[in-house]
Amino acid sequence: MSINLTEDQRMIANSLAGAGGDWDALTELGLLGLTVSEAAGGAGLGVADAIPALAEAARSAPMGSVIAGAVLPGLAATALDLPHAGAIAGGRLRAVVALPANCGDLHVDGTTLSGRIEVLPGADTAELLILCLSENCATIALDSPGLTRDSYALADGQPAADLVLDKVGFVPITAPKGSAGRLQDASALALCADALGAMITIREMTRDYIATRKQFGRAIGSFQALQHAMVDIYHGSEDYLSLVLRAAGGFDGLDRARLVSAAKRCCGTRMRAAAASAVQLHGGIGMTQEYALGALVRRVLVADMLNGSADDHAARLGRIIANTARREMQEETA
Amino acid sequence: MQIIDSDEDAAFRAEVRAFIQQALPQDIRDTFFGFRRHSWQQMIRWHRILADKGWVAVSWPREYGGCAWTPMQQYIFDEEAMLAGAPRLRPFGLKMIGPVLMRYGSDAQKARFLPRILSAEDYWCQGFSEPDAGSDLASLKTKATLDGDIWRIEGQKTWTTTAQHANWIFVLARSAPQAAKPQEGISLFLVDMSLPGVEVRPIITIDGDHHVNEVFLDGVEVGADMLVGEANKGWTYAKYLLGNERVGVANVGQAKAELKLLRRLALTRKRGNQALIDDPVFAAKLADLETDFLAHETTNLRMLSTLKPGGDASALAPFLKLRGSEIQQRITELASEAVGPRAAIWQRGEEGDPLDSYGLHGWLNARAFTIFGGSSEVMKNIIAKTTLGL
Repeated sequence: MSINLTEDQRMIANSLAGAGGDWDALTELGLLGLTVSEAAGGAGLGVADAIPALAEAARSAPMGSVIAGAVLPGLAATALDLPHAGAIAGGRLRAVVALPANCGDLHVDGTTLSGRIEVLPGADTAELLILCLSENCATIALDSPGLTRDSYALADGQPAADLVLDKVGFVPITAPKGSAGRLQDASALALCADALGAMITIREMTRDYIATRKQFGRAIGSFQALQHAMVDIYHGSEDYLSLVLRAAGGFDGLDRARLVSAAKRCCGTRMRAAAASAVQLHGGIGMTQEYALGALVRRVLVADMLNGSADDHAARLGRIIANTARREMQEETA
Repeated sequence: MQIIDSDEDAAFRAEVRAFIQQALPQDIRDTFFGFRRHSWQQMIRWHRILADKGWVAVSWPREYGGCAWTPMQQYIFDEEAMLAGAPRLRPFGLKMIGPVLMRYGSDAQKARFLPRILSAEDYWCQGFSEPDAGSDLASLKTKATLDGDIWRIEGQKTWTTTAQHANWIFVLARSAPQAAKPQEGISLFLVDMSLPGVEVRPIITIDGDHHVNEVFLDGVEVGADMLVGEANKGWTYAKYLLGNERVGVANVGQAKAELKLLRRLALTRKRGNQALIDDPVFAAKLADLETDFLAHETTNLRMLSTLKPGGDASALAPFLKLRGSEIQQRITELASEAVGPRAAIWQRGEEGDPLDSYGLHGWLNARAFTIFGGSSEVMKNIIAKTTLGL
């Protein structure tokens, strides 16, 4: 089975894969405005179309910096109707979006903000911070007085930063109801899409490796223990693919929270285990930095760690399931 | 992908729901919602109600009295029936031997047997497994010897589900013992269980119930008209049949209905001062189960959408069988946890106590799901070979 794509999604996936994380290429191909509205000079792509394209592209190139630097700022600029949308789409302004998962102890003091924003991909070079906490959103220029940043690379190689805010000025924005939650889910699902592309490549590499690597005079993939482990990787990632695509397709419906949390939970449970098993099946070569597997595995791990842990999403699912049960009970007694 | 009914499917769902609402007897619903298993008689009553409506053979072509529904329509029907608390129809006639006869049987066999499967005048059971031929089915030893135009069948079948109710059995038997490969010398026969030499003995399983049997075939004589297709080609027919069996074991509709029941159970039970469903430890287990179910349901729909009506499901079936059986086991696991100490009560018979399908009986019964119809290990062997090329 493979990711079913529409013509448009495939074209976008090919462009994204070609550009990789290269900013100039992304600008030239118009990909920075992928999710910016057409009115503001973007392509107006919704989450339902962006996710399959990202997942397909992520089979050959990491999508982390595209997600942080283009997909999320575009969605935020569109949802909040920001005047920066055109500049983001045209590559003239680098923006990043901070969500509740990134923010610890932020507090407002009159007209300034103080506190910390942590592990924010793309924040190392961004010029504009779009802060989406609830209905209260804000934009902050990242060269504002009182703002310091500590930049570093994440395990999958993408740059990120911590931001420390000490009485930093901001431009308040009243967001349409639900837009922060929607962005948070878009962000979680986009990470899942990157992990999905990586996972499909991992399973192909692993299958090919055990089919050709010989020990005891035969391909190690002829041993039943390894075959069954490989089947679990394949089947698990196939189910994960189902969850990610279904969450994309249902993103604009009433079931969004449940579908996204199921995908993100599976990323942290079944996919982390599948990635570990892929290293195991490779043996020693899978442990080396030089071999391509490690970079792919690290993308799965980073996707799991950011924007709500597997446990956060299990807890949210638990609450949704309990609410569903109560609603079903009421419907029956009504 | 989007799982929203098309306008046509939504209209179909409404029609199905309305019919089931009006036609499904209350006592049958009460059995399911009372956490009990449907009886054989309840299942047969529902079968006949559906047969009268013309809705019993959802996948069969119209020329044989089937509905010729699309895979999506079949899925919707199954989902609606299960959520309403209907019994699951047994697959042995409708999903196993019926499709085999349509594809490989003679005109006379089709004319004789297919209508009687629809009407439930005939009930079939499956004579495949033997004491020494379980996962390694091709090593079966039951012999079929041709004497003039009579086949004489000699041997023993086992794990034969509902043989105590069935009046016909389809039997795999070795007809060419000298064949180069064990798979090449096997034929498929249709056997009337009232014939001399057929004997059924019950096997009580670890859940304390009588589902399966041993079937002894002691020189049972059948005419050449009871051979399906060609002699020694039985393995081909058996593989086709098993593919259909395994797709059925995905049981998405049933799992969905049972999960809904499980949520209700967890809502009404307490842990400490709160409803069990609000307990974080239980809720996390339920969240993982519902996540795996959602994935399984979606994978099932993705796979079915690539499948043409009557198409060969043998490459997809192992995936659905594997996960479907595992999910059903986990439902019984959480259900018995939700029931608590009363799940341990073994005695049956009193209304609602023990919770018959959801106590330890249910958990023990579900152990069979990863064994029958090809064990999980055999499913993985098949996937490794056919899908992964290992």
